[in-house]
Parts: sequence; C-alpha cells; structure tokens
Amino acid sequence: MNRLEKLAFWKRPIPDEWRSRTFWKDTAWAYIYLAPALIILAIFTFYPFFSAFRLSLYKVSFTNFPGTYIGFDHFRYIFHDRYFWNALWHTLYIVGISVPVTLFLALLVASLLNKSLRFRTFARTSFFLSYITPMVAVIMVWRLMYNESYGLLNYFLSFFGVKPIAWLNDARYALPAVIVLNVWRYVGYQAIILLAGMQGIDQMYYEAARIDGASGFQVWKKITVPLLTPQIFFLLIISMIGSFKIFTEVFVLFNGPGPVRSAETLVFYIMRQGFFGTPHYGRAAAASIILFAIIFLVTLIQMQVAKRRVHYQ
Amino acid sequence: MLRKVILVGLVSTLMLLTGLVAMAQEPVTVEFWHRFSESRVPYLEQLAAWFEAENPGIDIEWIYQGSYSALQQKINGAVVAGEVPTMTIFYENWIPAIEDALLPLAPYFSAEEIADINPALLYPDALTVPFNKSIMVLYYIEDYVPEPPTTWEEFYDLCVANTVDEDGDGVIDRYGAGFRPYANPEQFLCLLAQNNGSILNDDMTEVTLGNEAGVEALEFYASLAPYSWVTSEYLNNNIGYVAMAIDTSAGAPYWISAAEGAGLTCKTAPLPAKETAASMIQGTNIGVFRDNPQAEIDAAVAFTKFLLRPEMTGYWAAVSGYMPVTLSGLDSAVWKYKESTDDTVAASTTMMAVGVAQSLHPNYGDMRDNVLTTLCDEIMRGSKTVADALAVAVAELEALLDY
Repeated sequence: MNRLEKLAFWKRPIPDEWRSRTFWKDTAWAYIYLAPALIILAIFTFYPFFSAFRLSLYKVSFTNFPGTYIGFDHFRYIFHDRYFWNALWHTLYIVGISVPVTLFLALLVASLLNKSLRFRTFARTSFFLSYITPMVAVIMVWRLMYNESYGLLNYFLSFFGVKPIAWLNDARYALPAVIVLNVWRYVGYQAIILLAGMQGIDQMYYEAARIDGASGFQVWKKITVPLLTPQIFFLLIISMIGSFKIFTEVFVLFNGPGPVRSAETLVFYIMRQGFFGTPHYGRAAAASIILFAIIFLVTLIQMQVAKRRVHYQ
Repeated sequence: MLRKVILVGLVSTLMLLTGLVAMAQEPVTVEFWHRFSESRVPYLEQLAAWFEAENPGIDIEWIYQGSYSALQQKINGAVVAGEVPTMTIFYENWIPAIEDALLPLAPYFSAEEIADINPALLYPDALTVPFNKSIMVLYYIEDYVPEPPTTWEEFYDLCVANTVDEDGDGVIDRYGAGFRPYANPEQFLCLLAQNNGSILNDDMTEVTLGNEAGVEALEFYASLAPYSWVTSEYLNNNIGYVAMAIDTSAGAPYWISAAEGAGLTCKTAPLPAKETAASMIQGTNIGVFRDNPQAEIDAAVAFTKFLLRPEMTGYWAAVSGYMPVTLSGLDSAVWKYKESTDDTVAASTTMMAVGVAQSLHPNYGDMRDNVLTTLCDEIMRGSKTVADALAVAVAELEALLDY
C-alpha cells in the first residue's frame, strides 16, 4: 500500500467500534470535557494565529478595519529593510551561542547534582531559583550588576586590572550581555530536566560498564549522554524557540534596542513595527509570520536530525 | 374591568415617567484616558472637582492607561473595537491613524478662544487642543557651570572644560553634557531648529535635513560626542555625572530634587542659540471621540474648554511642571505667582516663546522612532560619520514621505 492509498480513508472498511453506541457516547463525553480547553485555545491561540496571516495582507486602518488589501507588500518591505536583517542576525547570534552553551552548562550542572554531594537539595533549589524568579525582577538586578560605574561585574573585573566596561552602553557588549543573562536564567531549569532524565536511566547500564572497566568520563560519554538524548532534544527545541522569541531581556536591559540597535532582536523588530512609532499592524503581522516560518523550519530540521540521534533505550 | 385597565395604565405611566426622570438625573460620566504619574493625579482630580462643582450631573473619570506606548495601543484597539473612551490625551503624531474617529473641536470654540491658544501648539483646524505641554531647556549644575552658555560656542567650550578625569585613573569622572540620542532625538532637533534647519519643508513634500543647516547642526552635534555621556538612561538619575543637559522642562522637579540629594545645585536656562533661539515643544493634546452619546460629547467639550481657561491651564502648569497652553494662561495670576517663586520657570517661558512643534507628517512616528533615533545614535556613538549616517537617513526619510 503506497502513501496515497494509506491516506484514502474513504476506501478503508468502517471500524467495528463505530457501530457501538457506547463508542459514540464516550467520544461525545471526551469532547465535552475537552471543550473548555478547545474553546480557550480557539479564541486565544488559533484565532489570533490565523488573524495574523490575514492582517499581514492589509494596510491596516483603525477607523476602517482591517483596511486596504495590499497582497504581499509588507513582506517585500520587510525583506528590503536593513533593520530586519540586523534583527535576524542578532537573533541567530543569540540562538547560536546561547542554546548550546546553556545546554552544555546544564549538562555539567546536572551531572554534578546527580552525585552524592553535601547540600545537594540546597544546590538543586538554588539552581532552579533563577528560573522561577519573575523575569523583569531578574533583569533589573542584572541591569545593576552590568552598571558601568557601580556594577558588581565591573567591580570584580577591577581586581584583574580591567577598566570599567560599558556593558549596556557599548554596542560591542550589548549582545554578550543579553546572552550571559539568558544562559544564567535557563541553566538551572535545564539542569533539573536533565537531572530527572539521569535518574531515570537504568542502573544496569552503569553496572555493566563498571564490570567492563569503563572510566567515569567514558560512562558519562557513552551511557549518560546518549540515554539523555530525549531530554536534550526536548530542551534543544524549547530553548531554541525561546531564544528566537527573546524580547523582554532586551527591552528591560536597554530601555530600547541597545546602543545603535545592537541588540535588536526579531521580536523587538515586530514590536517596533506594531507598537512603537507609527503603528503598522499589518507589517508587524507579516514579520511575525516570517519568524514563525523560521522557527518552524528550524524545528523541522531538528526533528529530522532527532530521528537519527535520539535514543530512547 | 375598566377600572383595572385604567389602574394598570396609570401605574405603567408612572413607572415610565419615574424611569425617565431617573435617566435624566443620571450623571453623565466622561471617561478620560491618561498616563500621568501618581504624583500628578491629585491635581487632575482637583481640576475635575472644580468642573463638577460648576456642572452638576457631570462626572469626570480619570482612567490611567499605563505608559504612553500602552495608551497608544489601547486607543487604537478601542477605535477598532468601537469602544472608545469619551476623551483622551495623545501625541499629535498618533492622530492621523485615528483622525476619522475624532470630533473636530474647532466648531465649539470662538475665534477669540482659538486665537488665545499658543500658535505653536495649535493642531490644524483645532481637531484637538493642547493640554500638557513642556519645552526643552538647559539644565546645568551650578557647582560646575557657574554661568550657563548662551551660544553654541560657549556650550562647546563648557562641555570641553567640564569633561574631566578627576582622579587621573584614565576614566572620565564627569562629562560636559549628557545626550540620549535614541530616547530623545529632540535634543538634536533643538540644535537643528536653532540653525534654521528642519527635517521636512513646510508643505512636508521634501526632506530638508540634508541641506546646509542640517549638516552643520549634525556636525556640531557630533563634535559634542567626545565630551558627552551618551546613554539611554535618564540623565537626572546620574546627577553629577554630567554638567549640562538639554531636557524637557517637565523634568525640572526630578532634576532639582536629584541634585539636592547629591548636594549639588541644578538650575535651568534658555538653550544656547545659534542663528536663532529655538526649542522643541513636547507633550500631548486632548481629543474627544465622536462615537459617544451626545450628552457625553457635550460634557467632554465643556471640560476641554474648562481646562483651557486661563486660571485652569495656569493651575495645571504650576502644579504639574508643564506649561500654560494659552496666551491668557501665561498671564494668569497663578502662573505669574509660579514664575515669581520658581526660578526654573523663566527658562521655560522664554523657550516656549520660540517653541517649535514636532512635524505633523502622518509618518512622523516612523521618521522619529526609526530614522532620527538611529541617525542620532550612530553619530553620537561614533559608529558612522555624519555624511554616511545622514545619507542613509535622508534616503529613509524620503521613502517615508508617501503615506
């Protein structure tokens, strides 16, 4: 049976359970239970999602909504806008560095937390704190730490003879400042997920390795990491999507897109089109769709890779 | 039977009349959206209380809507949803997007009343009227700058003299001036206006920023960069780190109290002049939405006119840090008293007389927030030369001329 034949549901025989009244009754109840969640999803997720597609084709007028149909003009504008390409580059830069670095550090932290350390519970809680603290509060604290004149970071660097660095006021340091904050915030969360994965690995693999004389690093490399690939894959997708959508960190750290727009990300660009200056809702919607397409594409690639690399047993 | 019918009829009529009387007596509520800080709300409440005492049956409800950006989003959303407030404040460059939803106010004002509004603040055809307006003035720390500069040359010299590394560690401890090029391109626009320059020509069909006056203003602006602290932070939050700054007069209370807290004396002065004295006007207007019951519209218009009375605009300006928006307001007793007791006010009054309003081009929001902010940021941070940054900016402004 080829793929097309598999899809031709009308040619398939009617399943036996369809003839049962109980089946239809159970199905109806299932939908009734699901209805509240589906209604909320439909109103707050699906409708805005499809509305964005529609709006992206209009020059939006507030007094005559949705305005004038202009086809793909917004997309053409965006692809010719230097700020869009800057924002895309900044976003890719953040994703490219922040995602692997966070994951690597989380793996190290999780491996340490998996050992029989003293104060292990305290250490686990401490690492998770950065994730559960409200983001704006965290960023405000980092703003103080990054302060050129009285920040903690420059204070420590001064012990090594480093002159004060304008972390938030110098285009060269703007993106690194965002990345450091982002890594710090998510290492704890990712470490806890990986730790849970580590504790689910069957001890028999470790025992077998020990009998075979494997060293600690070999066990970690050949057993722990491969058997953690489902969690690593999950974190990779989640953190990649999160990093593509980075906005609050930039907005709160810099009160804007950073010096000379050096930290403007794609979501900041979208916000700027829609809500700062002259509001261009259609253009913002078009930029959102482009961001969606990028994330969708990267996720698809990751899933293809995962088919070969993720080991569940 | 007839008795019963008559009785039911009488009771129904009575109930109907009672209902109508109750409706007639129901106060008209005017929803007024704003974004004033908590410290200014008592003064708004006071204005409303005076108006309500004069106009029984009208209730002014001030509704805080968050930041200016949040206010703009909510106004636009309200217009789309058809659920507009009675009136609101907004920046002039927000108006083109919602113009059709606004009630033109001109028919409600006499020619004398229109003539009394400061001409620099008057929106075309009085579609909206000014409310909270301020002007850019020079703040200077008297401990570092005993006499404020009056010309560009003096300003430059003082910037150079006040950029100092006091402890000799190779790090500048104080800058001559402070600039916020991304957040406040109006600092540059003041220089542009002082040099008789402009962004667009009078009929807004041509970009004039790249002409001789514009280039000269940008070059002067760039020459200040080595002697300026360039930042996105509020300058008064780092008092003492800069000796002078061009900033809005509405910020005077913050500057003065920050300086006092640091044991310094901050004063205001008119901006240094070049070809002419000029400064940029800041602040918002009042508009009334037409899609409201007539009673609400009438009440909103009455309240708008009330706010423009000399003693009211004078009071609001005196307590809030803004400026009176009418000529008679500038002569009001309350404003005169303010002038005699607050020496930061004289500079504002002087500058308001030569105030320049922001461009009313429908795309000015983009011109300011996308092009001018980037131009100023690139020049002050030295990431581009004046010529390179200006060439790109002019091209981008030209692309925004059509709307």
